[in-house]
This record gives sequence, structure tokens and C-alpha cells, in this order.
Amino acid sequence: MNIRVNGETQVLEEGAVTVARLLDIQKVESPDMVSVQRNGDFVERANFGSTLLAENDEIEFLYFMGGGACKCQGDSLLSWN
Amino acid sequence: MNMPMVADATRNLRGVSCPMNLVYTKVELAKLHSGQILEVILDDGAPVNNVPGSALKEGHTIISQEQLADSAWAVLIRKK
Amino acid sequence: MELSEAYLERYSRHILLQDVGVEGQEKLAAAKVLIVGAGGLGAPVALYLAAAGVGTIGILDHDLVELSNLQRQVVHFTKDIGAPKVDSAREKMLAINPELIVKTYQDYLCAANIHEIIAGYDFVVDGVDNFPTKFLINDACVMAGIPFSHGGILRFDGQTMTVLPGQSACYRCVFRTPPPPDAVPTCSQAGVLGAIAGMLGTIQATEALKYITGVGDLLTDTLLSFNAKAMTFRRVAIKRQPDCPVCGAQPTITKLVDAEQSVCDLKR
Repeated sequence: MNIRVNGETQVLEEGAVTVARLLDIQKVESPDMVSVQRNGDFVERANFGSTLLAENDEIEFLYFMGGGACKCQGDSLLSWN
Repeated sequence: MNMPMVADATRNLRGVSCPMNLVYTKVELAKLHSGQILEVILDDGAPVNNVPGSALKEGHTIISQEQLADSAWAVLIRKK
Repeated sequence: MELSEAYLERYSRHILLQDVGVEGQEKLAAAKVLIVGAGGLGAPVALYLAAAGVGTIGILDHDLVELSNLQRQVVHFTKDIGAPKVDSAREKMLAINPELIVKTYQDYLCAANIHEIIAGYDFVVDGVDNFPTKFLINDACVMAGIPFSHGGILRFDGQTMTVLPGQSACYRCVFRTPPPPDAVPTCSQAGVLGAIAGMLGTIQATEALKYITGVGDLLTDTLLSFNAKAMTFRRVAIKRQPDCPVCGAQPTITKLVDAEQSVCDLKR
């Protein structure tokens, strides 16, 4: 199955892949710090485990980013490979 | 013979160099209504070579450019 | 109104721009912008908005200037260590442009005070460092119909989006709820390259100036992110979500409450 993650084409070998599994495959360390969009729509965190990806899905992982003084923010979770 | 155009406003910009001469031209144009005419007096050289072209680029019309006895130029601009 | 020669010369590079001109500069002079946070993002925003001649600028921050701020918070100088950030920022803004009105708020933003503080401003710039306050700014601005710029920076990364309440996607359309506090490691582990604050802050300042003058297209329905290591910029299209809890068809958030363990609670 071919999908696009953050604009990059990804080939998934497995049959049924959920958003939760994709976060795992993509080695996202802190899923709590990620907001997921599927084809332009927000995916509820509670539905990560039940939302199945489909061919040609456009997935965006959007990361929480704090601001100004960086007081309350942890290590970067961005994967800009 | 054509009647000479009468400007609705005039601004003497002799001795005012670029780009402030364009700034003042824009200020005077901003005070006018569409279709009214502004006369600006610009020094020969860079001022007259630049200001009319800039006014043109902003959509105004250059009606005439006439060199005066002291080599400065009288430029008539119709506001867009 | 007759404009002084000093005014025309000071703002000549704006007036020369066809899209800004005399009229655009007058709009800036009449505008009121609130900058929340006088830190890494607020610093360049404060300097550029002051320089641009935004007539009334509010700046809010509870903190005092610390030595560790100076690596990126360019509105504060070494001599300002120990002074309230808002006073330090105000001094520099007025040094650039003495004719401005700079209102300072040495306070935290909370559910109890945000409505009163933001009322009357035309645009708000979010330069705060914590998520509860980012959500509070979003919710209050959406409710009050005040456009704002969201901004965040971390390490070598930055992200920003502009929100026009009722018209474009809001922060909650993208990030539904603040991350759980335990998902956010302690701050001492994170860092930020100083100039990143300038990169992101100047984008936010530009959005404020664009909104006021009506020039160009705002960064609405778009999350712009950059990574300075690769120097890549990416725009992700964002849609307004009909089920958004604050700007959706049937909002479930209709009044503001402070998140548990908000900065307000912690420090008061």
C-alpha cells in the first residue's frame, strides 16, 4: 500500500495498518506530542487504534511546538529525515 | 492649439533626491481624487528619470513632461 | 492630516511600496497589536512592529530578564538582567520609535483576565512558551473574533499559522487539546538556536503587518513549519474542522477555564 506521510511517499508492506501502527512504523517516540491529519481531517487520538489507512492516504504528523522561551518544552520529536 | 492642462495641485521637489521625491509625490497623489492632476517639479537627471516611471508603474498616467528654464522638469500626473 | 517630514522620511520605505503607501502607513499608525510573551518570539515582533509604526502595542510577560534569555531575546540587553521583561522591551521600542503607545502588562494570561486584556486589540501575537496559554489565547481570540498568529520554536524548528476566527482553521482544529503534562519533558533538556526565534518571530510580525495593511495573503488554513538544519520550509494545508470544540458548528468550549497546572496556578 502506498501512502504519503508528511509529503513523502511510503510503501507499507503490511495489509491493514492503523494510524497507531503507522506511528509505530515511523518510530514516533512520543505519540502524545503529535496531531494526526488524514486527508485533511483531524483524527481523534482515541481513534488512532481503529482508523485504518487506505491506498493513497495523505497523512500529516503535526508536532506540538512551544514558543518563545522554550521553558516547558521537551526534546524535539520532529523527524525531518 | 490645445488648452494647457491645469493641475489640481502642485509640488516643488527641486533639490529633493530619490527616493524622497517619490515619497512626496505619493503623498500628494494620496490627497487627490481619481482623475485629478498633480504637477511635480523634479530635478533633471535621476529624479526625472525615476519618479514618472514609478508613478506609471503604480497605475497613474503621465500626461506630460516639460523641461523648464532652470533645467528642472514639470511633470503632470493624472491620478488613477 | 498633514504628515510631518520626519514621519514621511521614517516610513519612506513603507510608503514607497505600492501595496502599503501613505494609506497603509496610516492604517499601521491606527492599529493596536498585543504581543503575548516578551521572549524569543516576542522580542523581534516587538522591535519590528515598533519600527513599522504600529501605533499602539501591548506587551505582556510576567517574567524578569535572565542571563540565559540574552542568547535569543534580542529586545533585552545585558544591563536589563533582573528588570521586568515588559519594561525592558518597552524601553527599546520607544527608543526606536518615541511616538508609539506601548502598554505593558506584567502578568500571566489566565481565563480570568484574558478577555479584558485582549479586548480592543486588532491582532494578537502568540509568543508564549507553554501549551495551556497557547490554547487559552486561541480560545479567547476565537470567542472575541480577534485574529492572531500562533508561533512555536524548538531547537532548530519553528511553526506558525495565522487564525482569522470564523473564517479559517484555528489552533484547536489542528491540535485538539494540550499535550499531557507528563509527555513534556523538563525544559532543561531542550534548547533552541537563537536565530530561530528571529526567523519565526519576523514571520509573525510580517503577518501582523499584512493583516493591518490588507496586503497579500495571510498564512491562514496553513501550518508553516521549517527546519533550519536542512533549511527546509513546509506548508501543510489545514481545514477548519466542523467538529472543532471551539470554532466548530456546535462548540463544546464556550467559556474559558484554566487548564490544570497552568502557569497561573504554578506561579501564583
